[in-house]
Amino acid sequence: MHSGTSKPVCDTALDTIRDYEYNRTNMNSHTSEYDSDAELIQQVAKGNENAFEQLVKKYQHAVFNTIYRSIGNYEDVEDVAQEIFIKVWHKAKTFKGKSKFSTWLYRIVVNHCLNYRSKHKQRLVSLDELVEREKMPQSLVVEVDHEQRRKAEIVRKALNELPERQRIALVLSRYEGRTYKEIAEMMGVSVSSVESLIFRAKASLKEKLLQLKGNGKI
Amino acid sequence: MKCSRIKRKLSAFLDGETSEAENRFIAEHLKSCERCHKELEELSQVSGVLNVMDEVRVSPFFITRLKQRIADQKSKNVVRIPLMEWIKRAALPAFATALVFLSFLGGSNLGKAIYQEQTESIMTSDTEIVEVLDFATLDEFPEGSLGWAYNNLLVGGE
Repeated sequence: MHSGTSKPVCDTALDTIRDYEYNRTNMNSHTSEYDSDAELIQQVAKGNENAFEQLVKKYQHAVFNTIYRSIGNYEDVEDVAQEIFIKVWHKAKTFKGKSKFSTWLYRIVVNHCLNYRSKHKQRLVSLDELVEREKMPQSLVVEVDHEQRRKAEIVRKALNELPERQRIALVLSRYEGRTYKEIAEMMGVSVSSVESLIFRAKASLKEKLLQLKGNGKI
Repeated sequence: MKCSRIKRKLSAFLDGETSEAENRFIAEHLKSCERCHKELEELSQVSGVLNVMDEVRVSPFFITRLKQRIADQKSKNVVRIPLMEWIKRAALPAFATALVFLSFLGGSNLGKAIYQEQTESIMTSDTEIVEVLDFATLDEFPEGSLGWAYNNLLVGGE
């Protein structure tokens, strides 16, 4: 039982947990696109901040993780996510409803991730840096045990070494569950190009990851 | 289909992105080709390894910070409108207003000039009529005549 004075603190904590659970349950909700997305973005185009907040809440978790896996570091994820949602706010009027809202949104996400890479000339991550990353603010990372986190870092490093278009196509397919057709729309390429990008990405990863797996490192 | 082509399709096959016809063909090929079968197994293992991926959580304050950034941009945009920009924005309406005013002024002066010219023309024609009829003034027309009626119209009589 909690005393009356501690209730606000508990409420805040509970809200945070509820938000987190909401985000987790909605991370793969794009497979059942709600009709209301189109209505929400129309409202956003009229300057409705509540509608904007609803859209952000619905997609923020998926957008954060796509950015994280595409650009490969924690530090800039929120900044890039802000830029993406600010663009949604300003460009809502240009959404004509020819594609699903999520496809339109992910086109923005893909463009920002590609631009980020070209701006920042991604460095290859050294082992020292991997160790340093263990010290990253854990509030940002979903809790997993140390061993799993170590393996995840290795996988992420392997992903980081892929050419950016291969990596983004693979991330959208593997972690966001997008079809090749959707990815083609998001990246502005043909379906066969997406198939080729993902094939080459997996072929590269196979060489790196299976060797590590054979050595028992993952 | 050659093994090299089958291999290029295996990734899409695992992702469920191949057609039914391709699926049947690949499945049939895998029964007899050990190399492609091994390739498929390895690709499956890669998919398994990729499952080991951490994820980030969204800060509970993300939306607050996002809204604040949008608000900051708005206020900056308001402050940052320079004088020249305001002048540019005002130039077109000001020009249009001036054009309307000048048109009105010009039209008014033109109207006045036309009116004066017409009045002078009428007076001249009156004089010419009098000269032709050999009367000193239009008042000398006999009552009930056309000239008398015309004169009456001019002076506003009955």
